[in-house]
Amino acid sequence: MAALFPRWTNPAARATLLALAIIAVGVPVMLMTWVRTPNATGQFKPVAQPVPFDHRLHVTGFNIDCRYCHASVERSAIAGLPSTETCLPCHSPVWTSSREFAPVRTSLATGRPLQWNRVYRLPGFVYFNHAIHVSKGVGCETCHGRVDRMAQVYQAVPLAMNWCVSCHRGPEEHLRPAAAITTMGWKPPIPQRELGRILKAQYHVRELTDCTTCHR
Amino acid sequence: MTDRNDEFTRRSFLKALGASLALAGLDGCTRMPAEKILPFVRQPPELTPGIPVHYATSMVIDGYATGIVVEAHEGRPTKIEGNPDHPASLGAAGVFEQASLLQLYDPHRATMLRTGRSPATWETFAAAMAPAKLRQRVGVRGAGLALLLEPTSSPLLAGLLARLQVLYPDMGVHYYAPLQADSANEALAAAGGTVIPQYDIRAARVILAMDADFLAASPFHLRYAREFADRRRDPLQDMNRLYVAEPSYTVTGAAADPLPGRREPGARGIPET
Repeated sequence: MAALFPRWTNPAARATLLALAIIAVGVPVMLMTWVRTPNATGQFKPVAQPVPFDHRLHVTGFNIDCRYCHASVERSAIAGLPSTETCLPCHSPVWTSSREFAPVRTSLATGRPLQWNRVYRLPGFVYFNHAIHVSKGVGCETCHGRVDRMAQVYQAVPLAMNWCVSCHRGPEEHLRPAAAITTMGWKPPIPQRELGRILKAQYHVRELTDCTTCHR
Repeated sequence: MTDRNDEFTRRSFLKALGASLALAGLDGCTRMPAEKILPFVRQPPELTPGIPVHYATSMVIDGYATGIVVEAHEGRPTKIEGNPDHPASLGAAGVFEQASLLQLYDPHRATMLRTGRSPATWETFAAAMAPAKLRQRVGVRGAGLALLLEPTSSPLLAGLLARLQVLYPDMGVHYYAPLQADSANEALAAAGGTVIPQYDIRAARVILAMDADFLAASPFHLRYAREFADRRRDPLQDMNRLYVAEPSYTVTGAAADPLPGRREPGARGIPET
């Protein structure tokens, strides 16, 4: 009786099986790698804003504290964006006739708010509270990066869950004294791990890794 | 027995179940939409985004106000609780107070004025209600004018009505509430009373409620329920006793004590005559 399949089908069948195995493993691995890339997380992508507000000028040039504009960061879950009126004390004589300042003038004249584009986006199922992080010694820079060097603000960290959890598991790597919360480019005076251990005890920082800490 | 064409068979049910599960998985692949942040132009000092504001107000049912405290997030009310400082609430809120929150988000809630079926503005309303214009339609003394109101105990509304009645002495004022306990009011009126009774339930050792759901459906019922419960906390103290006669089941009936000499739980103090 002649063979039902010719001889060459043997390696072809093996190659097909191997290809299927590679696809079955490779495609999920590729997808899971891709969602971790900055391309998928939106990291490092500058976000254009209606007003070309330059943090470099305001933070480095004029030495304005973060909390002058993001005023509720110590009290509220939301750091808050400044009201249009917040610009006025400095900007009433300066720049008021410039083209860049036009959206602010329009907002003041019409009473309609400025529409800023959100840079840090969390899914609706994640709860985040600025006030508790700030009061427990997590600096602005830790999550927002060197804002003082950003012409247009971008997302400086991945905001993926493993990024959140890495700090919740070992907060001492990231804590700084309350006086240095808004400092940009802060360097620990003693090794970070030692300082972190002291601050963790001083600020009663716990390692909150329950699901319900963030997914309420 | 044959399968009907439109019958949802076990097989098609499982197919739909599997398909929707697969689609639910795809749901996670959507990108988050770009979001805008709109700060205030002029920030009100009492409002911080992210921190709820609590304000005291009242809710009127059948003319009786209950003080409540409303929690609002960024201007949107989210929760209603009783006002501990209000005598009709003592910190509690009833079902109607709790549910009244949903009225604010009811898609059928009126969002504008109308005349007949067409939209109108406050300006046209004010123009049509101007005394010179309105008197042409309802007469100089307002005999053709009728107001339909919910029962109210508001001094503000009473003051406004008094001012209206100076303008239109012959105006008719009518009150209507769909669920008002008219029989109780009629009974009071028949007894020659125009006063509203307010009971001190704490002082009562034996309470007899005859078709009176004073724990859940009468004016001041939140206060009465608190006072009623306060005298039942400690069995060694002088507890009160509640007997109820009622034609239909109520919350008060459920709280009633068995009649003396009847121990079975089914009796619930309802006389079976």
